Amino acid sequence: MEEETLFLPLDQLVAGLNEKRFSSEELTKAYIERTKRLEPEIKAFLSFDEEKTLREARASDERRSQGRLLSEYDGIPIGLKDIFSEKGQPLTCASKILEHYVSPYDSTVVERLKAAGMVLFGRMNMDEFAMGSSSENSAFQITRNPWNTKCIPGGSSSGSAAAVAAGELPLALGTDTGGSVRQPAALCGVVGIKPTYGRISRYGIAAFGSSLDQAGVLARTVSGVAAILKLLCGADPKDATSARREVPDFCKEIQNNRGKIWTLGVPEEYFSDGLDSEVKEAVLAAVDFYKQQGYTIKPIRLKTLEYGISAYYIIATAEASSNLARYDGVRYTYRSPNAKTTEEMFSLSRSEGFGSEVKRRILLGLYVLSSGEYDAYYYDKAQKVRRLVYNDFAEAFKSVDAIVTPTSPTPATKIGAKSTPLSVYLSDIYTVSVSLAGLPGISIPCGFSKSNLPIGLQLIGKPFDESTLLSVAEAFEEGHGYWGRKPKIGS
Amino acid sequence: MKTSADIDQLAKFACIRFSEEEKVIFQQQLQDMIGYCSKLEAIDTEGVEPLLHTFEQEDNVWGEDEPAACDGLKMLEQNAPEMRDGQLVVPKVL
Repeated sequence: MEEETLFLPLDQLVAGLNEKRFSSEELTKAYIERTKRLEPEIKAFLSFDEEKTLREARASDERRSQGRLLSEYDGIPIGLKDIFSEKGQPLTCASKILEHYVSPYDSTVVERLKAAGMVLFGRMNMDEFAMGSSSENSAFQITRNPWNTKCIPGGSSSGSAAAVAAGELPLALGTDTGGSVRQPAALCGVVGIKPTYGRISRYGIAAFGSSLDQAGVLARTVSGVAAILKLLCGADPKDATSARREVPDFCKEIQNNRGKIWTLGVPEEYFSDGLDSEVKEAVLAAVDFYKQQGYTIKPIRLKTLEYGISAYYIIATAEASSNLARYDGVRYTYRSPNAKTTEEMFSLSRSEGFGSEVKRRILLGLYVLSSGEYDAYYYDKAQKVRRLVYNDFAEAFKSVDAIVTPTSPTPATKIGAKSTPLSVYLSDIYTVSVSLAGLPGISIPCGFSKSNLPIGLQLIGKPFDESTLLSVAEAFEEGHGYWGRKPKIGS
Repeated sequence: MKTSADIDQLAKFACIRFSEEEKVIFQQQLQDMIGYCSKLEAIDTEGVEPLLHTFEQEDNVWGEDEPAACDGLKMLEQNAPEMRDGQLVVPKVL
């Protein structure tokens, strides 16, 4: 099989299977071969069960021959961030504390992918417990950006984005708590969507910040993420915070909306100091493109932007400090061999099992929950600011259909370039407010820097209006060929 | 956030041990973050309701209690560091 095939968008892979140009087994084998060839350089996978993967592909081919396909996407491979429970497979969250953990059950998203007959293809590297934006916090390896292997791929869904960009996979799932799908998608030049909070069940996904965590999809094109989103969304009795809302057929909605003219908001706060000039130029060029298509471009204000990082890190770390209390050396695989007392079992297991960033966030979370004028004063204050952030967006959406911003203030930086934790946190500035407000956001490639690194455009939508968001994103994609560009790696 | 973080107290809450060198580094990094986050203090939030969750369902989520099979013991055995006769083994408490 030609390697070009591995870079085809989802609909063309589906067509290839339907027209019997290749079988699921052939396609899966070709991805496996490319993955084996590139992995020493990219390091996107934490584990990979080749036999199981090929078994799933062969089962799909058999269903196809018997005319009982489970869905349109039966037989298509998809990678999973190492945070989703898949029965019998490892789930490490890229942490030493879960190094030998094996999932006893399927998460709801995995259940839905299996029900659609998709081939579950490996476990992708990430920042430990999804805390970070570069994979440098993984306890096991640093994933490389396929466009320049000296650079970070973004994170925390680092392996998912890098593998799709490198053509090791056509699709991958990630999770997004403060930008962890959108930012790596931007830095690796692929499409990444985080739907509205509540759209996808969180059952079986290792928890970080429960009021923010949301699964997302990475693919080469907008229609690719739209198709998989449709499979994953919908109420789940196992997650009381999953939305009991009708799930539209996103691909159909995109088609129905073709040629429609929208009103886009451009918030001036997102284009001020700290934004790299090449990113600014590329995003403003995208705004111009929309203008030329006849869209109404409206300058708007989102004044709470500068408070987003503070509110986000207070809320996310407070929730993380509670969620990570369960890793105590009793039930979750790692117990310190040096523990002789119960207290040592707790504290040594946690000290040896968690990496620095996780420890830092637990400490910050405990600080904001235990300090101030009254109990949880800072947490409470951050939740009030969160309301203001939400109101800010709600006001803007009274007059616009979607909001256009950069996804990340810079293209991918060199590995090790950011020296302090605070400097890393600040790079989340354009994505965290969207998470605080629970809104859907998508990152699509909108250009390249002079050093040939991808630049991402973020579109932000109204709650539960992924359809408009995807339609606006697709209109840009249609007018540009960025999705078809491939990194030189492996060629 | 005027007060400085008491790293010893937080480490105790967190059940994590730090060496003296680590304490100095974490204390500094924590202080940087706390300093940055303190900009929230300047915002007037008088009368603002905290937004605990962006997904405010129209009503409560109710469901029937339905018994389902769950082999909890098997699930535990797969991942617990030490088990004996269906019991979790931990160091002596008393």
